[in-house]
This record gives sequence, C-alpha cells and structure tokens, in this order.
Amino acid sequence: MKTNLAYKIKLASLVLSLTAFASAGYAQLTIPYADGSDGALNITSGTNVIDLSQAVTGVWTNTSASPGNGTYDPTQWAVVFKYSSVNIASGAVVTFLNHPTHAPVVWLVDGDVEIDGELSLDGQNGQFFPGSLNAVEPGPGGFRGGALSPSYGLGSGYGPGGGSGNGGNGSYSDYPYGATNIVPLIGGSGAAGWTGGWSGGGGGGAMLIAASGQITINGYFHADGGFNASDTFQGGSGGAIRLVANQILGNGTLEAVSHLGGGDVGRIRLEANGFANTITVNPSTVAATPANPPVIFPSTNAPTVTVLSVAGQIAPTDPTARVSPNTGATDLALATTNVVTIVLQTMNFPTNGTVNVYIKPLYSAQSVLSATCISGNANQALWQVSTALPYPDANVVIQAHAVAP
Amino acid sequence: MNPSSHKNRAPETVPPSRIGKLGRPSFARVWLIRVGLAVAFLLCSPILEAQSQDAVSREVSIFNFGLPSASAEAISREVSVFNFGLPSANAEAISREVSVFNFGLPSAGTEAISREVSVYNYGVPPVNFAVGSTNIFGNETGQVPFSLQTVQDLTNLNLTLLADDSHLQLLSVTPASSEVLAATLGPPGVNSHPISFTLNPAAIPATNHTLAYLNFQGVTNLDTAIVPLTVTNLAGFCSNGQSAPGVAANGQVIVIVSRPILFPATSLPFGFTIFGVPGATYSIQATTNLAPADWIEVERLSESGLTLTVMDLMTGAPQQFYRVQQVGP
Repeated sequence: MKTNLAYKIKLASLVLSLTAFASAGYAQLTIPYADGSDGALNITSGTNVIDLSQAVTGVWTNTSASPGNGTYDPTQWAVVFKYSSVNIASGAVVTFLNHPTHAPVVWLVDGDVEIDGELSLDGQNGQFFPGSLNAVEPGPGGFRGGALSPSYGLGSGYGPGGGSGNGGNGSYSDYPYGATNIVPLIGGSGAAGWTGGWSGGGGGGAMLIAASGQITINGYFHADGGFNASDTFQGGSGGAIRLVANQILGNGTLEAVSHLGGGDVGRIRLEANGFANTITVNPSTVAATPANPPVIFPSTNAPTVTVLSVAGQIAPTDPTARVSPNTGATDLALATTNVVTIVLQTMNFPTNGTVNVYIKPLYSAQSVLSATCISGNANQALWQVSTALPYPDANVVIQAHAVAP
Repeated sequence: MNPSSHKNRAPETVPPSRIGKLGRPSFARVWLIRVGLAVAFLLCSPILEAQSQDAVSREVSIFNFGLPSASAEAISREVSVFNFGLPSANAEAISREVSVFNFGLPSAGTEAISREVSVYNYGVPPVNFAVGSTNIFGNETGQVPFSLQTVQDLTNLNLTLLADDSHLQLLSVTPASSEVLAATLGPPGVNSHPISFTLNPAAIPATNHTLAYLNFQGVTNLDTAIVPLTVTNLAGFCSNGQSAPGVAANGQVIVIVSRPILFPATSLPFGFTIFGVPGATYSIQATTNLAPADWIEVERLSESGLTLTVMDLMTGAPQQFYRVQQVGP
C-alpha cells in the first residue's frame, strides 16, 4: 500500500509536469464521431444514475439510436455517449448502473465539459452474508469483487489483478495489466471474499472523456475501488480515468485509488495542450500532449486474446460473464466431471508470448494456468489449456491475459 | 661531547641535597653499624629457625599491568583525518538530475486481456429425456412417449428430433403431464424436427414421468424400415435463464410394410422376435453357411399379434444363419 507521503511526492512531480506544459490558446481538438447525437448532459442537482443497460447495441461510430442512452459497441466493449456538452453542477452527483457486460464508459463531447459536482465510477463495497453470496459490482469497466459462501468458501476477486487468498486486495497499476495510456480502457480488479463473512470490494470503473473544448474539474471525479464496509480492507483496486481535451482546468480532484480498502491504486491519464496545476490528482501521473484527433479505441492491429470455446461449446462473442445464482444465466452451461479444454485465440500477438488463463470459481480460489500455442502465427494463433472445472452446480469465470515477451 | 672528559671524569658523588643533615658517614660509624646488625642477627636466630619449620608466607598482592615498563612503550599523538573520498575538484563531475516516473508496466500494444466468460458446470446432466419405441404398419398412426426426469425449475425444454421422413410422418406432440403449458412441433427441415415445450416449473415432478407423446404415421410407399428417433440439441432453460444441459435416450419406430424384421435376442437362450403382419404365416429357415447357402425350414408359424417371438433355436452348430419368409396370407 502506498503511503500518503508517496502520493504527495508524486503529486509534487505532477505539478511540476503540469507547470511545464501549462499553456493556453491552442486550437480545439477534433474528437472522432463526436456528433452530439446524445444531446447535452446537464445535471443541475440531486443524485442521478445513468443506466448503461439502456444503451442501444450498435457501432460506436454511428449516431446514437436512442438519444441520451448511448451506444453499446460489443466489439469495442464500451458504452459510448456523444454529448454536445456536459455540465454537472456543484452539489449534483452522477453515478452509473452497469451495462450487463460491465463495459466502461466513453463520453465524446463536441464542446466543453464542466464537472463542478461529483462524478463517480466507484466499485461497490463488499456485503455481509447473505449479501456476500453475490459477486460485488464494480464500477463500469472494472471487475467484480469475490463472493463468500460460508458453506462453500470464498472466491477470488475478478479481473487480471483480482485479489486472492482470504480477503486479498485487488491490484491494478502495481500489477502488470493494462496500458499506461489507458488504451484499451479497462478498470480495476476486485478484492477476494473474506471468511469473516464479507464479499470483496469491486474494482473501480474506467472512463474516457474526450472533449473538443476544455474540461473543467472543480468537483470530485473518482473511480475508486470498493472495500469491506465494516473495516478498511478487502479493497478493490482503483479504476482508470482518461481525460482528453484542448485544456484541462479547475481546482477539483481526480481520484482512482482503493479509497479505504488498501487495494492498489488505479491510473489517471491526462492529455491536453494546456493544464491547470491546481487539480489534485491521485494517483499522480505525467501529462501528455494529445494527438489530434485523439486515439479513442485500440487500433485494428492491436493484440487481442479471446476465449473461443470451453469443452467444445462456443463462447459468445459478446459474453456477459454473469454468475448464478443471483444474476441469471451464465454464458455457457456444462455437465461434466472430466477435464475440459479451453481454446483461445490471439491476434497480432507473438506465439512465444505468455497467455495466462484465469479460472475463477464463485466460491473457491482462482487458479492461473498457462496456455500452449497449438497453431498459427503472430497474426492469428490458437492456444489451449486443459483443466477440470469445479462441479456440481459451480459457477466459474474464465478470462485470459496475454503478455508479449 | 669531548671523549677526554669521559676518561677524566671525577668519581660520582651524591649531591648534598640527597645526603641531608647526616652528612657523609665516617669509617668507624660504618663498622659500628655492621657489628650491631650482627649481634641482632645472633639474638634473633632461634626465633627465625622455629618459624622456618612451619612457614607461611605473607600475602602479597600483585597488580599486573600487562604492559612493558614505561620506558619500553610509546603512544603517538592523536591525528584527526577527514576523508572526502573524492578526487580533487578538478577531477570530478556531477550530472544534472533526471527525474524518472516508473510506471512498471508494459507499454501499450504488448498485452491483451480477454472478455470474461462465465461457465456453469452441473457436473452431471440435470435433464434426462427419453424417447420411447414402438412398431406400426405402414398405413397406421402411432405414438411414442417422451419422458422427463429433472429437479431443475425448467421453463423451457427444446430439442431437435431426427427421423427419416420417407418412412415416418410426424404429426404432433400431445402433452401428457400437467407441467406442460405448450408443446410445439416446429416446421420440419430435412429429416429434422424442432420440438419445444413451455413448462410450469412449479408443477414438474421430480420423478421420471411421461411428459408428452409424439404422434406419427407410417409411410407405405416404401418397404419395411427401422426408423431411429434421435434427439439432438436438447437444452433446458431454468427460471433464471440458466441453460440446463440434458442427456437423451433415443427411440425407434419399426414401420412394417410387407417384409418382416427380425431382432435377435441379446442373451441366451438364443431366439429372435419377428416384427411382421398379424395373421401372416412365416417360414423360419436356417443355414450354416451363406456361400453357398442351404436354407432349410426349421419352423412355420402364424403371427397373431404385432410381434412373434421364436426361441430354442440352439442347434450345436458353430454358426447358424436365419431368415423368415412370409408364406401365408
């Protein structure tokens, strides 16, 4: 866990960086496909929940089919809103209800963004039994906290940095996953369940705000990990905040940490031609000059890894990763007591790389297996790993993480 | 120093300050002292002898400095040294400070993370489905039962039934249990028939029971056939939307048009069952070789029902082949 002193030191270095970049008067950015088709977001008071499940499934480059509700793009795994402007007034709070796929949020704004109130992508806190039977919701784009069943055991946190062991914290920036430029957009990992009766905190969410004008942060914009509500541990890791604008101004706070949970910090990425050094940023970061137009999603030749099939059953291309008993159907249903083969596909990824497969049962500890390349090349390759999945009536979430040598 | 001064040096004398007031002793005074000491020794000698026979020395305390005498040692003066550990100013260089922010992470483009995929593993199939068997004549209708055993709260049960359309025409599915809210025989593909059930999960018995009947009709424009009824794509869905994999036992329909069909017994005593035309007379014939065959009638029987079972056909031959030929109306 990082100390406050470490944060202050990093913050001081950030201030120096920002001061070095401080400038104004640059031309506006061209935000790709920011057509304003979701209208203006103007939140003046109260607590407002943006229900991401209302997004219409489609292609993010198209205009919004349901203005105000955004577009869910399964290929990019993101809910994209195209606002003409954003204003969250002082005293107003904006939170999110997750899309069924837990996709992250992207705001493409053809104008200015002003956050004087509060914008939250926090992961939820762990719950005491019987609420602990359910995996804890993350912020959008993050990963769930591990569940706990007094009868069956505790689950690890979800996500590549999911906490393991008894109440283990989630990791993110101290664990090698995700990219420093937050492309792709991905949030924090969850904490593990704890035999004391609590489920683990969910990981902080992930959000990109790209504005052609300026982004003003006078309020509190946070994507923190949840934690054990009875104590200060079982922390999901902080999420990810990426801001892209001509100028980033204000005197508010940007935060992507584990809050009170003790989990790992997340990431913040600031890309602008001009910065205010009066914004408190935690964790600190180095600022960057934005590309114009900025990169929104990974390029088509970026590496990918996909779970193709489990025990011969083809995995859906847009999985929800739901886990029973509370959240409905899983992506696949098996009836086997035998070893099963999990087939994965990589693209734009070297065959001498490492592909780790995370097997995360709902109520028992995760296992991490190394997949073997069975065919293909760097353009496209098949990998597989064989393992016995828990049974009977066992929920498992499978996720792969490919790392180049 | 002058060497001659050493040779001519005068006898050493004691300075007056060391002699004190007694002055220099005379020759007579020396002898008086020597005589006195001798008398004192003689007077005390008996006492000394007595003591020597039981001698105990006086205690002597010794303090060992462990050091040579003062004249054999030397202690230097203290010298202070400040070691800069550096070359002289002209021979060193100090770089500018360089700040480094270590993300400790791979750069973008060297890793990938897959979407999460969830799997529910029942361990053993939670839905057991079975298709019955029967035999009909080519121009008859018939039915076979669909049986179900599950403890899942199924709301839907779907399957595809493969059946040879050239011999069997599927007509409908009739509910046979109270949990069936709807049963649908979908539009057929080629030898493929989708069947779906809508169920009331609260009314599903936990025991094996007949769920519905499949109704069909034999086709008469072809010869007798055994029509397998094969279940594929069996899938149940629970009330929470969770799919429930199933295992199915297949059935069959024997469609008798003219020629009979024989099914041998699967255990001793050896025999077989004839699926033929009721009322017809059949000649049961046997041969020990097929090339050349020498068929001999071993029995002639009339079939009164749908089937005719023939037993006790053991002959002691290493092998025996049988056939049935309709010889009567």
